Parts: sequence; structure tokens; C-alpha cells
Amino acid sequence: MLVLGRLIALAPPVAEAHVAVQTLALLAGALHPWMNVESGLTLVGLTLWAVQGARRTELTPFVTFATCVAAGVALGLWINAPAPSLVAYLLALAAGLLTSLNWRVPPLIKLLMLGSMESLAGYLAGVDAAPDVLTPVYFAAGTFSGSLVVPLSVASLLAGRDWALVGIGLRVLGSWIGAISLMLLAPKLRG
Amino acid sequence: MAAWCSFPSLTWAHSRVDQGSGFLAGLEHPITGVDHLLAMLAVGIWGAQIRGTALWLLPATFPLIMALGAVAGILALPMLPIEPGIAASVIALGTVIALNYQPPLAGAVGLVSVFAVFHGYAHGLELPRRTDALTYCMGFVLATGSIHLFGIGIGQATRLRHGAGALRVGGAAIACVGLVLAGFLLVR
Repeated sequence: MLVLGRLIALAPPVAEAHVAVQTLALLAGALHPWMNVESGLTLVGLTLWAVQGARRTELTPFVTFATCVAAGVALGLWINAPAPSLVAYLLALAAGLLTSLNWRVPPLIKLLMLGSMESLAGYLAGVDAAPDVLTPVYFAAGTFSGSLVVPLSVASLLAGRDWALVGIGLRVLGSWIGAISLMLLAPKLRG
Repeated sequence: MAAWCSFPSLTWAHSRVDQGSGFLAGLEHPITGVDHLLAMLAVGIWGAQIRGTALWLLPATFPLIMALGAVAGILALPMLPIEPGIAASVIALGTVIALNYQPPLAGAVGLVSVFAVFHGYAHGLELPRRTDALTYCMGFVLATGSIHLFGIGIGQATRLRHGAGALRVGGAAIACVGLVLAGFLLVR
């Protein structure tokens, strides 16, 4: 039995299984906050708001974005105390409205607002994912990379485009996010 | 449109409660009811006709206010009669396009918002309980927004020769369909 155990331990597929679990955790971390509808709506809305008026060269908002989401997810995985579902939809509504109104505030205030809202969205996504996460560190690292890559890709896609048209498109998308969030909020209000 | 109107069961989006579920049902709902479809199209066309900020503000405002109306419907708050309000929206929006009416921006947003409440309330009442509300709402808002964008596209006809006139004729046709729909309501 001892020999058999040692043979199994030496076999590469078994060792690779751990790598696979970690890779999957990275992937799940990168995708989960975006695929989870409540936080996904919020993050898309906040991405659009962050992109509004931002330049591709400005990395700070996007690194802040990713750090806050990942920190929120890590906190959610650690504390794992569910918040009322109303909060998620109110957050998504706020994100949609900010984009729809193209609300312009000083850059520092915008950064603070984005940071706090992203942290909260990340926390909710973290709580949602908590029961299924085996490797929290890899999951949070995946969240960081996903939350950095997605907004940066959107910003890169939009850079150099006709901003008048892009601006209109972003506002309309923001209003759609706000409308969906409002409609989903109502049944929660009804109870 | 006339053929469509001659089949009342197909024309009234708001009577189709039991059919479908989820995203596809939400997507289908605004498209299969001529009342909703024409009102959404008219909002986009009117925005393009007014131009400037109205081009995006009307289509951006409508879904949000419509969602507010839906919240009122889901919560079953008291409301004025819905179907006459919806028929009135088709008549009014068709008429303003036909007259090429260019009110101040706040007036246009106000008018569109009032009608959006009626449309939203009706949809809120009908949001099927057994269906996946999440995907239904997403499909519904996407379809509504897409119809607005289509209306804006049609509204670009103002740039073509005789395009402005054609739009006004189209507006008159929309108003006529609205009158037919109102007639159905009276007959019911």
C-alpha cells in the first residue's frame, strides 16, 4: 500500500490536478463578478462610467478599479455575511444612473466613488461565490486580473473613436442598466 | 399596419400574458405588440427629428421612466386607466412627428416620460410570476432600447431629400394606427 501510495504521489497527472484547480480558480475569479448578474450589472455600469472621459493612458482608475473589486471579493470570501439583495440592485441602479447622466465630478471624488462602489460589488460577488471557492487567494487574484483586463479592453476599444457617438452610446447603455436594475428591484420591494 | 390592426389579438402586446418566458419572452414582448412598438419607434424618430440633445435624451429617458412605471405596476400602486393612456401615447407621438413639433427639451422629455409611465405600468402588471424575471427584464429593456435605436435610424431620413416630409407622413400613419387602437378599446 505504501509503495502504491508513493507511486500515485509521483504520478504527474495527480500533481497537475492541483495546478488545474488553481487555474480554474483564477478563471472563475476573473469571470464570476462579471457573470453574476447583480454584480455584473454594477461592474459594467461602473466600467462605462470610468471610461466616460478617461484616456487609455490613464491606468490609475483601472488599477484602482481592479484592486477594489478584488479586495471586496476577498473580504466577501472571508467574512461571508450576506447583504440584503436590495443592496446589489440599488448599486446597479446607481451605476446605471451615473453613466446615463455622465455625472462629472472631480477625478479624486470619482476615484473614491468608483472604489467604494466596486468594493461593495466585489464583496457581494465574493459572498455569492464563497461556498464554491476552494482556493480564495487564486480566486481573488483572478478577480484582480479580470477586473483590470475588462475595463482596460473597453477603454482601448473606445480610444480614438468619435466621442460624441461613443458618449451617446454609453449614456443609452447606462439607462438600460438603470432600467433593468429598477425592474429587478421592484419584486424585492414587494417582498 | 392596417393588416396588423385588423388582428386585435396580435396588436395588443399587453394582452399576451401567458405566452413565453425568460429572455425570449422579454425580447418578443415589445416587438409583437403594435401599440408598444409604434410608441417606441416614435420616440426614436421624434428625438431624431428634434435633433441635438433630444436625439439621445429621449431614448435614454424612456427606459428609465418606463422601469419606474413597471415598479409601480409590480407594486400594484393605483394608476389611471392604462390602455387608453397607451393608445393616447401612440396618437400623441405620431401627431408630434406629423406636425414636426419642436418643443423645448424639457417639454419633450416630460411628454415622453408621462407616456413611459403608462407603458411601464402595463408591463409591470404583466411581468409573469413564473417566468425568470431577471432575463425577462433584460430582454424587454434590450428590445425596447433597440426599437428606439431603430427609430433614430429611421429619423435620419430627415437628411435625405423629401425625407423630412416622408417622416411627417409616417408620423401621421402612426397617429392613425393609434386612433384605430383607441377604437378597438371603445368596441371592447
